[in-house]
Amino acid sequence: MIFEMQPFTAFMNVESTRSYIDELYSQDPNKCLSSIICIKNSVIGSNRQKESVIGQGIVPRLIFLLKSTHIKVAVRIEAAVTIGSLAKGTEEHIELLINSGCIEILLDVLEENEPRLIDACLCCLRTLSQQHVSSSTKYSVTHLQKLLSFAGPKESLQRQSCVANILSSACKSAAEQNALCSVGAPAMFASLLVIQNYSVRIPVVTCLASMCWNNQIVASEIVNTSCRDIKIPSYLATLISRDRPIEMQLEAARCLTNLHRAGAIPAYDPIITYRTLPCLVRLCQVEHSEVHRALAADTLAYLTEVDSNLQQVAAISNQLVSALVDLLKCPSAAARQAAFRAFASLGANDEDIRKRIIDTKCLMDRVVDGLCDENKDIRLAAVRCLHSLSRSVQQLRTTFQDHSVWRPLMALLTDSPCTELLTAASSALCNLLLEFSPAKEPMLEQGVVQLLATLTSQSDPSLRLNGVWALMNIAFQAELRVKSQILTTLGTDQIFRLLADSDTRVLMKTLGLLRNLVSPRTHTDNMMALHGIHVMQGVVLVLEGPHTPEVKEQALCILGNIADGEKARAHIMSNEDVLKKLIDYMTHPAPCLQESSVFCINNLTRRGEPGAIERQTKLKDLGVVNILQQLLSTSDTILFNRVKAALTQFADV
Amino acid sequence: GTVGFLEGGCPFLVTPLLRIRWEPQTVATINKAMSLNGGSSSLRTMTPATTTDIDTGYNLVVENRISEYIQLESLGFENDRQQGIPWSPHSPSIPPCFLGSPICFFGDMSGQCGEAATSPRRARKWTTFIDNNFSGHGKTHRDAASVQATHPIPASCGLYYFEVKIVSKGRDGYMGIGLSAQGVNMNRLPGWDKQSYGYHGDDGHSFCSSGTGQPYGPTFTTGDVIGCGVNLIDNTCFYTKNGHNLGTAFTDLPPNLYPTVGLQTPGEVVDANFGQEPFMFDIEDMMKELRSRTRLEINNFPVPESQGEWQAILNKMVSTYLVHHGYCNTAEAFAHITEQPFNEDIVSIKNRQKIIKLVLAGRMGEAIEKTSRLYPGLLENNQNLLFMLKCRQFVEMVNGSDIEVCYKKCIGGFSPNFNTSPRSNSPVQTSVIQSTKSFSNKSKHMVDEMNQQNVAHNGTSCINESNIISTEDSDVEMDTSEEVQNGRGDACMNGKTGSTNGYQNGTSHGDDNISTIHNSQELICCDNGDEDMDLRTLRCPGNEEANRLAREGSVMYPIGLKPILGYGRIIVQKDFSEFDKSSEIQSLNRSTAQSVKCALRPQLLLNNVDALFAELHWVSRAYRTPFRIPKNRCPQFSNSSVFEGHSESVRYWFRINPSVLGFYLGLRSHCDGTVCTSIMSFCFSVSDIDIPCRKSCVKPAVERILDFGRELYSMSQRLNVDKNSSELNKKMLEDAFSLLAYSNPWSSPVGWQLEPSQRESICASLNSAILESNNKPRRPPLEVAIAHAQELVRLMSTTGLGSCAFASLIDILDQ
Repeated sequence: MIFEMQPFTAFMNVESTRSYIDELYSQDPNKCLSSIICIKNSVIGSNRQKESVIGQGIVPRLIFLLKSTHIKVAVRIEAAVTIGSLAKGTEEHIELLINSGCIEILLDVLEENEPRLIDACLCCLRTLSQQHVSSSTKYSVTHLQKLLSFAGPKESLQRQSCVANILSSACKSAAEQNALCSVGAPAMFASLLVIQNYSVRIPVVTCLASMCWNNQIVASEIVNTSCRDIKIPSYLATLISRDRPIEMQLEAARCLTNLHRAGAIPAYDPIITYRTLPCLVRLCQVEHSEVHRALAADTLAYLTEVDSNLQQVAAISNQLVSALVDLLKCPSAAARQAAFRAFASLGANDEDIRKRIIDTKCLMDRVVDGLCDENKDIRLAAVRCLHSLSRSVQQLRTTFQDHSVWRPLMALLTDSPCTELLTAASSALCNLLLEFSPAKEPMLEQGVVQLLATLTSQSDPSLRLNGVWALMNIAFQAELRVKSQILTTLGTDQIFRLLADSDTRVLMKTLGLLRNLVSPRTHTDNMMALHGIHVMQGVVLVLEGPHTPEVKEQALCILGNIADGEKARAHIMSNEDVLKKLIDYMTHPAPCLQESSVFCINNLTRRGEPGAIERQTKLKDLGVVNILQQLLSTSDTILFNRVKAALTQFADV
Repeated sequence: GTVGFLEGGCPFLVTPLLRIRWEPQTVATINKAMSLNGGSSSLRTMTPATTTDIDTGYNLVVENRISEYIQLESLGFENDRQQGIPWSPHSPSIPPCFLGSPICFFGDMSGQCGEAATSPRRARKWTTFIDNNFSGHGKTHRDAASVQATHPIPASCGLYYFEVKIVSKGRDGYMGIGLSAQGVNMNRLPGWDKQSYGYHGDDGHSFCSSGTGQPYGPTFTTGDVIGCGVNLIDNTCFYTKNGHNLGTAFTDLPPNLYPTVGLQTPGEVVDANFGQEPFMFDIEDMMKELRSRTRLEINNFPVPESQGEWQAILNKMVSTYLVHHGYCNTAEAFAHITEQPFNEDIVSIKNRQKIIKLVLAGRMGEAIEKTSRLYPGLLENNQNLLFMLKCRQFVEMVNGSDIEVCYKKCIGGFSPNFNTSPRSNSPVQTSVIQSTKSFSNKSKHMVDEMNQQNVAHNGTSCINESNIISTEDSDVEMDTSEEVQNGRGDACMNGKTGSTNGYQNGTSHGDDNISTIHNSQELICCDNGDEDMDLRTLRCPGNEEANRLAREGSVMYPIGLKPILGYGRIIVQKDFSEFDKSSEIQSLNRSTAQSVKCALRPQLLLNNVDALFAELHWVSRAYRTPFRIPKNRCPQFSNSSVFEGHSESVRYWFRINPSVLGFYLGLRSHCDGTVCTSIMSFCFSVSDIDIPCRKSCVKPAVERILDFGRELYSMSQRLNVDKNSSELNKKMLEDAFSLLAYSNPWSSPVGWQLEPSQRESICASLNSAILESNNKPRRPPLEVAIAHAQELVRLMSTTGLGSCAFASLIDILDQ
C-alpha cells in the first residue's frame, strides 16, 4: 500500500528508494516494471540519485533484465531506458556501465525484432557513445551492418540520428574506418544527407568526418559517393552555407577539411578555398561561442597545416589573426590550444604571415605564457606555435630575444615531458640554436649540449634527429671550445651509435655534425688532433656501410674538410684503406661521390703547401692522375671543373 | 537614368562606361592625352568603331558626353587648374545618372525601395580612368581624383556589394576603393575626408575619414579584384580580395553613401562590376545568412507580458478571421478547441458563405441576385459595388462561368425571378460558346465522329437554302422550347436543323453557332436584303479550298475562340452553309490575328478620328478579304471623313462584323481613356448596331454579352458622378470589354481577368460590404495586422532600416 503512494515522494529521498529497488528483483514482472519506472523517474537529471542507485548495485540487475528474452518487453524497454539515463551521469557511471558489458548486450538486443526495444537500445548506445570515456568497444562487421540497417531512409529520424552518432564514435582507427566503409556507410550516409533534418544531418556529417580522417581510401570513396546524382562534397558545400546552424556548418567544414587532408579534395578546389576555409575563418570570429570558435580554429589549423596557399588566404581572411589572438584570451584550454595550433599552421611557411602574427600585440607574451601553462595540451600547442614562428630569422633575432623565449623552452625540455612535447620543443630548439640566433649563447651556458646529447639517445627517431640536428646547428661555425664540448659530451660511442642509426635522417645530420666539427680550416687540425681517430673510424664506417650515395657523399665531404687541414691530412694520407676508398669513389657511378672524392683529392694535393709534393707523388703512384685524366672526358661540368682543378695541382709532379 | 526596354519589356539601365580623365592644363594637353590613350585598352570605348566589343550603342552616348565634357573643360575650366578632377557626377555640366545608380539588388525587395526598385539587377560598369601625363605630377595626394556613383546605396537593399577589378595599377598603384557621402571632395582618394571611407591598394590600409590609415588587409595590385560590401543592417563595411572576405573595415557608417573609386597615379585603370557579371565573392551566401538572421530575430522577438493576453488575442484574431470569411464550421471548431465563446450569427455567416461560393464559382448573376435578396438595399445603395459585380459578371460571361440570367429589367433593378440553370450545381461552368462538348456528351456523339460526318457532308452534299430556313424554323421552335437554357441551343434543336451540316464539328461551338447564326441571318436579311445571294455566289470559288482545309482536320479551337469567331461564322453560315465552317473560321481567325497585330498602332489611330476610321476601314478590308464582299457594297471612307459622318457605314461594319467593335475596345490598353471611352460611347450610341432581337429570352450568347455590355456601359454613364470611382469604373469596364477584342481572350494581355483568382478580390469587397452593412468591421483584425506589418516594412525602407530587405512578410507567414 505504501508503494502506491511512493513514486511521487520517493524521488526526493534517497533513503526511501530502498523499497522499490527491492521490487526490482521481484519475479513478478509488474512489480519489476513499476520498480524500474520509479528508478527511471528518480534518476532523471540527478547525478546524486544516479550515484545512489548505482551504489545499490542495480546495474547488473538492469543488464540482466535487458538481456533476458523471456521477460516481457515493457520491462526490458524500461531497463534500456534507465541504463541510457544512467549513461548521462558522470564519467565514473559511464565507465561502470561500459565495464559491465552494456554495449555488447545492447548490440545483441538489436538483433531482436522488437521495434520499441530497439529504439530504446539505440538511444542508450548513442548516449554511451557520446561520452568522452574512451570505449574500447570494437564493433564487428555484423554489428556495423546491423546498426547501418537502422539508418535506412525508411527508418525514423531518431534511429537515423542515433546510428550516425553511434557510428561516428565507432570509427577511430583505420581498421574501423575501412570496416565501416566496406559495409556501405558512405552510400547510406549520402542518402541521409538529403533528409531535411539537422538532428540527422549533423551526426551523419560528423561520422563522415571521422571516417575519412587520415584515411585516403575511405576519403576517396566518400568523395565519389553520390545520392540523387549529387556527390557528397556538393551536399557538404550547401550545408556549409551561412544560413545553416553553426554546428552544421562546423561539421560540414570539418568533414571537408578531413577529406582534403586525406587527399581526396585538392587544396585549390573552390570548395576548400572559397567554402571551407572562409567558413572556418568566419566561425573563429568573436561573435561566435567559445566552443564553436575553438573547434573552428582547431579545424582551421588542421586545414592549413600544409598548404602554403591556404595559409596565405587564411591569413588575409576576415581579420583572422586578431580573432585568434582574441581566442587566446579565452578561459577554456581548448580555445587557447586551438588558437596556438592555428597560429602554428598559419606561420608555417610564410615569413610575411609570421611577421604579422608576431607583430600582433602581446602575442609573444601569450606564447611564452602558454609554454608555462599547467595544461600540457596548451604547452604543446604553444611550443608548436613557437616552432612555427621560430622559422623566421628576423624574429629569432628580435622578438624571440626580447622575450627570452629560450628560458621557458629550456625549462620545458628539462622538465622531462612527454615525447610529443619533447619533439615539438626540440624542433623549436633547433631553430633557436642556429648560428645567428642570439639565444644560442645563453642556452649553451645553460647546458643545452648536455640536454641535446641525452635527446640523441632517445628511442624516438624524431627526438634523436632533433638532438643531432640541434647539435649540428650549434657546431656550425662555433668556437673550438663549443665543438670540443659537443664531442666530449656526446662521446664517441654515442657518435658511432648515431652513425649506425637506422634512421637515415639521423645519420645524415650526424655526418653534418661531424662536418661542422672539423670545419672550417682553422679548426680542422685541432679537432682532428683531439678526435681524429674516432672521426676517421666513423667516416670509414659510413663509407663501408650499405648507404645511399647521398649519405656517403656527406662522409666524403668530411674527408674533404679533413684534407683541408694542414696536419689533419695525415689522417687520410696515412690511411691506405681510406685512400683506396677515395680513389674507388672517383670512378663511382654516382656523380656526387665522384665530385666529392675529386674535391678531397684536390685538397690533399693543393700546391704550395708543406708536403704537397710527397702527397702528389703518393697519389700519382696510386693512379690518381690517370683516373683524373680519364675523368676529363666527362660531360658533367662540375666534375669536369673539379677534375681540371685537381689536375693542375699535379703539374709539379 | 536612361532606361531602355528589352524585348520582354523588362527595363534595364543603360550600361555606361565612364571615363574620367584628369586634364590639368590646356586644350593641347587634352588632345595629347587623347592621342596617348589611343593605344590603351580602355580607350576602345572612346572610338565608336570599337564600341561593339563592349556592349550596346549606349557607350556612344557616353562617349559623346565625354567629348562634350572635354570641350567644356578645355574652354571653361582653363583658368581653374587646381580643380583636380573636373568631372564628377556633381559637376553641373554632367547630366545626372550618367553613372546611373549602381544598384544591385539581392533578394526580393518589391515595393520597398522606391525608385530603386525599378533598377535592375544588372547595373552598370564603368571604367574609371585617370590619366595624368605630366611627369612630376600624379604623385602627391593633390593629384588624386575620385568618382562617385550618382545614386547613394539605398538602405532598403539590406546588403550592398560591388567589385572593382584592377586592370592596371599604373605607376604607383595608389588606388582607393570605398564609400563617400554626397558633397565629399572628389579630388581626394576615398577615406581621407570626413564621411569618406576607403581601402587603399598601396599599403592595404583602411582609411576611415582620416588621412592616416589603419592596417587592414593585404595590398592590391594589377589583376586583383577588390570587393566592397555594405551591410545596411549593422551599418558596417567589409572588403574582399579575389573573393576572400577581408573582414569588417568600418563600423557605424552613416546612411546614403555612394560607391566611390579614387585613383592617383598615371595608368591606373579599374573596372567596376555592379552585378552585371558574376561576383568573385559569394555574396549570396551572406544574403542567406542575413535573411535567416532577420527571420530569427523576428521569431525570437520578445513579447512583453505587459501588453495583454497574447494567446487570447491571437485566438480572437483567428476566429474573427474565420467568421469574416464565412468559414463557419472551422470557426466553430476553432472556438471549441481554444475554449472561446462562440456567439456569432451563424445564419449570417452561412448566407455570406453562399454568396462567396457563387462569386468564387464565377456565377456572378446568381451571386448578385442572392445578395439583393438577402441584403436588400445593399447593392442599390452601393452602385459602385454593383457595377464592379456586373463588370465581373461580364468577364465571367466571356469566361463561360456565368450562366447568364435572362433578366428583363434594366441594370440597376433586379428581378428575383430569373431562370436558374439546371446545371448550376455543376462546379465548372462551361463557356457560353463552349457548350458543344456538353452537347456532344449528351447526344452520345463524339466530336470526332461529328467531324467525320462533316467531312463526309462537305465532300458529298451541298446544303441549300432550306437548311438555313430550317434553322430559322428551329429558332422559332427553340423559343418555345422549355429546354433551352441560357440561350443555348441544345441537342434536339440541332438534330432538327440537320446537325450534319457541320456546325458542331471540332470547333466546339456547335449549338452556340446555331443561335448565333439565325440572328445574323435576321440581321443581314433585314438590312441587306438581296445581298445574300451575291455574297454566296461570290464565295463559291473558295469552297474547294475550304473543304480541303476541313479534310485536313480542323483545329480544335480552344474554348476561347469566342465572340469574334461566332460572328465570323454568322456570315459564313448565312451565305455559304455548305462551307466547312471550321476551316473558314480558321482562316478568318488567322487574318483577324494578323490584322489585330498590324492594326495596333494606337497612337496614330487614336490621335484623330480620321486615322481611326481609316484603320477601321483597313480592318474591315482584312475581314472582307475572305468574305469577298462586293465592292459596291463596301462603304467607301474618305480619309477626311469624320467618324460621326459615317455612322451609317460604321453601323454597317459593326453590323456585319461586330467583332470590329470588340477589336476597337481592345485598343484600350494602348490608348488613353478618353479616346477609348469615346469609341465605346460611339459604339453604344449607334443604337441600331444593336442587333435586333425579336425574342430576347433566346438571345445568342455573344449577343447577350454585347447586350450586357451595353447595359454596363449605360450604367457606368450613370455612375459617372464621383470622379475617383468613375475612373476606377471606367478602367474596370475597359478591361472587361477588352476581352472581346481577342480571338482567344485567355491568352490575351487582358486575359488575367479570366483567372479565377481575380474573383477573390471581388469576393472580399462584396463580403466587406455586406459586413459593413451589418455594422461589422470591413476587414478582419488579422488582415489589418498584416497590412499594418506590411506598412511598417515599407516605412522601414523609407527610414533607412536595412533589415527591411530581409523582413519578407510572406516568408514569415509561409513558415
